[in-house]
Amino acid sequence: MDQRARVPVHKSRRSFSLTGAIVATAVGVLVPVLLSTSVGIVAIALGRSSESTLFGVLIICFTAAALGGATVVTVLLGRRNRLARQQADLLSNMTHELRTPLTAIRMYAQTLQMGRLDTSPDLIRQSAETIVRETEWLESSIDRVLTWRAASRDREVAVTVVEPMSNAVLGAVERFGRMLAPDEVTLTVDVQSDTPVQHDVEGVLSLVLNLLVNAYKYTGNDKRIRVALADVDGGVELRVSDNGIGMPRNEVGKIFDPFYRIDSRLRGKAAGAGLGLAIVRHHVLQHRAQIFVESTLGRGTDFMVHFPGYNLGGERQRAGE
Amino acid sequence: MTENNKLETILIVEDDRSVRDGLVLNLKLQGYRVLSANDGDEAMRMAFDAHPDLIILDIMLPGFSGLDILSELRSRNRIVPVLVLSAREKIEQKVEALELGADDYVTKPFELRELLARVDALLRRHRRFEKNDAPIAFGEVSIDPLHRKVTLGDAPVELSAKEFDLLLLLARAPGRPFDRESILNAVWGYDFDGTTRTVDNFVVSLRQKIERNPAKPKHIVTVRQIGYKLEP
Repeated sequence: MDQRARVPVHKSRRSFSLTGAIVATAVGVLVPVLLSTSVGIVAIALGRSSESTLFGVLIICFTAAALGGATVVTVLLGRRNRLARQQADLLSNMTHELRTPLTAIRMYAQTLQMGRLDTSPDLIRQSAETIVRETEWLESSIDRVLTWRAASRDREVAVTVVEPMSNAVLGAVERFGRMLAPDEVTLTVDVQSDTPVQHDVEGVLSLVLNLLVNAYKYTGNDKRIRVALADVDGGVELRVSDNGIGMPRNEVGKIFDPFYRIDSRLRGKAAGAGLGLAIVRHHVLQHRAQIFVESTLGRGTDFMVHFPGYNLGGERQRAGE
Repeated sequence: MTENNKLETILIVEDDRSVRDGLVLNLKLQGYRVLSANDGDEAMRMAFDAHPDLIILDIMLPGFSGLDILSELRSRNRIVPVLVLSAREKIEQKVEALELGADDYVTKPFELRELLARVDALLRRHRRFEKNDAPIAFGEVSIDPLHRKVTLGDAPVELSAKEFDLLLLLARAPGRPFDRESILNAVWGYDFDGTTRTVDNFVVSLRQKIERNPAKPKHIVTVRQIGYKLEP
């Protein structure tokens, strides 16, 4: 349970029901194919005339063509069903994610509207602050959906600059700070990087913010999150660490899949639509960076992103190489 | 502030900090004593140890879920009223919680005034219910409604569920005559297909169990042309 998992993440994995697929294939495809092919082979082997051989060859060809056609149809149908299911899940999860801040906003607004706090200016101010904070959460949820939509349709316009990444990282930290109540999180920021990196400031801001929100969601009462940016081997390493619930080794490979959410007994209702880390992966790939995860169950998780540096000759350098 | 809350304790189980703090604030303004838990494990402990008078329970929690807590409470005969407050809005999700023993179900986002009114109503009903649970005694008979036990003198009396309900109905209004139709509706329900003869049969059986002389009953007395009443 306490092993540290270090898994480089590059591409998506899809989960499916293996047992169901095996049973369906055996019953629906393999049995008819085997029977039909056997008839062809028997016709070729035992046939004494050229017609029998031709009949056998035709049977085998027909079986092969039918099998090919069935496979194509199955793949297309499966893909369509999966997309439909993912879309329905996304809608349902998003609705759920938007409801929590909406609940808080409405409750505090109605508390003020009912005049329950009229004798306490401090409570009025605190309630207004909570409402503003919750609108930041709403905005970040909506941003995630829009970013994901643009990314999945390749319609994202990336405007790149060549400069140290400090501005983008500090921008994300500042925006994250606006989402937090006073003393809610012990946030440590250690940004020391001079290496120029060709990057999209908005993209990196989104990457860091999504890692920070992810860290927030998976930490308990005593939330401690650290953001560090440091020069390493001609590149730059971004590290976001938390003291959260961590994850078992077998989860690490799945967390970057879109719509994937960790076991609900671990997270409660914290996690949203399962887009945050998929967006992180998208920005990582967009910047030709590499992401690594170290996690210990019950202790916390570190996400490390290695960005290649940009040298004056115009050549990108690969971090950590 | 309302006049009817005598520092009753409400336990709020909610893992979202803003929602939890807002509920705590509003229920304190309402005059209640408020405790809160932000995960299922802490909530499970407090639900049993802190003896709250009402629990406002979220379903999706880290650790034990709200439904785990609800079924544990009910399986251990805790009658504390539970108001489920959840974003899960499907009919089957509501039915599941209510069937597990929730007393009310409110979906998020909610209307604050309605939620506060529902909390007041649940506590009001609970107070009446608790009062109704007080033991009743007449002659040599004692009834413990909470544990559904009856004793005659020192000896326990074995009653069927319907016999007990019939006895409790009469005993809660001593001296008041009940007609057979009302008894049938109150004990067997409106959907019951039997006749008023059923009531007579159960009265005979009940008299044999709680009267010293069933042929000349002292407590479950026939009111001619009407039905029955209980004489203390």
